[in-house]
Amino acid sequence: MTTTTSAQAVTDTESLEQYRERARRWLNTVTIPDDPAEAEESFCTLRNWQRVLHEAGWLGISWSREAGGQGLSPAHQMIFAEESARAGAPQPIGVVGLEVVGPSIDKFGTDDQRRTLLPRLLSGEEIWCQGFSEPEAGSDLASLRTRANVDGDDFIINGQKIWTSWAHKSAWCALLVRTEPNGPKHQGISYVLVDMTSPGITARPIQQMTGETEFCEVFFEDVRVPRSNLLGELNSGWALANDTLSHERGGATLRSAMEAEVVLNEIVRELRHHYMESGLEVPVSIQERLGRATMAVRALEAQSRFTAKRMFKGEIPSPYDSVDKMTVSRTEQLLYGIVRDLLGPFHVATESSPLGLTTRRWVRAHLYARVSSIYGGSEQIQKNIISKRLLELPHE
Amino acid sequence: MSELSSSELIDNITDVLDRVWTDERKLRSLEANASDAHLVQTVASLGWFGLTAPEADGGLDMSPAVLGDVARLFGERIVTGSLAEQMLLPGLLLQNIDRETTSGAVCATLRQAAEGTTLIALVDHVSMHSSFAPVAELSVEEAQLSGTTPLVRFAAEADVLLVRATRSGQETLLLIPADRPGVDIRPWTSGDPGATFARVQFDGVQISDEDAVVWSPGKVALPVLMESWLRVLLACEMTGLARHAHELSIEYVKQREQFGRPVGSFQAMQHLAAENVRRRVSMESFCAGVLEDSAAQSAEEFAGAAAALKGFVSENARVLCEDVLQMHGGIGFTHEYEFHWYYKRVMGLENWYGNAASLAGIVGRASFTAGGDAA
Repeated sequence: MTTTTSAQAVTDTESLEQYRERARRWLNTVTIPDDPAEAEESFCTLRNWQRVLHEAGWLGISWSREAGGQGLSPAHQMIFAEESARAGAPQPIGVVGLEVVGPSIDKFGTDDQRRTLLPRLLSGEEIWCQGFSEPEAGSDLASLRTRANVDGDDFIINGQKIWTSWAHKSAWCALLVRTEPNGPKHQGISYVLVDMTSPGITARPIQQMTGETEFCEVFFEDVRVPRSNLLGELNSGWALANDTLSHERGGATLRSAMEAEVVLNEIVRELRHHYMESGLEVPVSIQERLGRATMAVRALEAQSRFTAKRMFKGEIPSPYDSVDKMTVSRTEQLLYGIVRDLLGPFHVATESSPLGLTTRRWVRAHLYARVSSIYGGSEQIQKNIISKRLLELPHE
Repeated sequence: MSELSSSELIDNITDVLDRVWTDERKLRSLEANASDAHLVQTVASLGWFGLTAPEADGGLDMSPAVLGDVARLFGERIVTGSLAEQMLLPGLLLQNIDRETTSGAVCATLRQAAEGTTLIALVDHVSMHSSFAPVAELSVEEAQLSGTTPLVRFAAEADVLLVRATRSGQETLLLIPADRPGVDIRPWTSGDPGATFARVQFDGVQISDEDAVVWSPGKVALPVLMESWLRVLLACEMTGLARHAHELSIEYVKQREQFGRPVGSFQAMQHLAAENVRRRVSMESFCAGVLEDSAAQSAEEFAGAAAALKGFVSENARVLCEDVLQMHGGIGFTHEYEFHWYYKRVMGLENWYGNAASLAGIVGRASFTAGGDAA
């Protein structure tokens, strides 16, 4: 691997277009890994990919230098995300830490938290998970019941989290806990950074419908966490969580738009190759389906430009993040739903490749697309946000 | 002519519509499927039919992309008639014709259209593009134009017809007077409150080289360019119509009370409204993106983008309106309440130059034949 075109060569005089060009050159020279279907293999591959990105200086692009970042603008960050998706590169393993938790620690953390936690988060040495959802607090996140009682200089934490991605592999957890049981439910929540090796934590993987075990349920039994691990102020966790979720929603739009474009082009290439080889005409029904997918993908790309403009202007979080999230999941579901239709009866034959499409890969992608309107706040929650905050419709 | 930025243009057109396009005039025009003579005269006197015409022809030499925002505004205000089309066609043709081979008579007619004194109707079988019932192309054989185009917008009011036809297997454009012998124009009763329609039959109409609108062999085929820009402007207009319909629904559900509270406080209503925000944002961003890219794209790329945009907006604008109707309940079904004008207008435009289904076919086919990427 060469580092001569890495991000470390950044100078103050470099334009955004030159930066994009350099990112492209680097992505062309580096070996981009495929994301294996098997979970353990995938974890190792993506962790290694994070190391490669970090060593070349392509992680934490818009983070402060103090946090181990590159100190560049969000525009630089977006450009690399876009180019990376264009090159078909997978997301590094620590995506929850890199895109969701890390920016919140960089923004709200103490100097000590930034200095000690973020460099290892960036390098992939320590993986982070996000302990938000609970069995009884999914869409109604503010009803969370995991308690943190103050005991001298520590919190004592008891409770259960669920849908926590990679918790069984994580060194740290960004945990939402209830620190004030009385009063309005949104106001008694705190955001605590928990060392996952602390005694009393049990992470149990949950097998998904894809067959993989990425999610976990996590149990906390009298877990002692220093009060210095509190992020921001006591009982201010709800605002921080919303900031975190807005990173998840807004920033993901740009990458998702490019990924959808890459995937669509790949589907067309595979089908084109199949029909050229077979000498048959492409059926009109397939042309129309691909046409519909193209329309949706182009619309998403255009919408992502507005997201980028909002991000440049600092208009995040915004209820338009929820609009974006809906558009992204709808587009993905349309796109992969079309491939599912094309697989037809062969979608049950995992090793088959009807019309030149690899069943195993596309069935997995289709199943993941179905969950995109559930995670990070379900589509129904996004609609509630839009109707209340954007349209200002009256409360029930 | 003084230089005019696109935002100044929109401000100026907004001012004119505020002054001239009163509720009374609007309603009268919608009831009659007619354009408003006073509005047309005002637009002509301001030189806006020549916005995209070259300066040498008395125009403002602006990019057709500025008309996207104009069309959106016309949609929001439900402006009737063929204003957007008349603002596009003369300028686009004057910009792209081959002056060496196009006759002086055609150039003069186009200049008159750019001044707003001559009304053009476009006779184009592609405007009726459909997956179900293809319309035959018109053809010129032995200097005679024959055939029928069943639906032509504004033909009955037009002074001249811009005809898309084939001649010796080649695509051609002709500009002929609407009253030339052999031209038979029969109006339909229009279901689109913003447009009139007529069946136009050509029965051995005499054609000469003087009628030909010729483009340079090396340049993009004018009919394809016209078709692409019309698709983009129709999409922008539908987006404006949909935006206003959506606003009507939000205003209504905040006021209308049932079970002792505004119906907009019920989650079922809120989710319909939020869904429409998603459609609106997608349509508006897509329009803006295509307009933004238009200057740098090849004609083929632009044609692909225009077809994808029109297909996407056609379906989304109509479905948005259908949810708006649902949110209004019975009042939305009445003639008295303004919503129905917007819905009928959207349906009128939905199928013009292709709908979601027929354009999906075009867009999908292009991705297999072009050899490049789909998106």
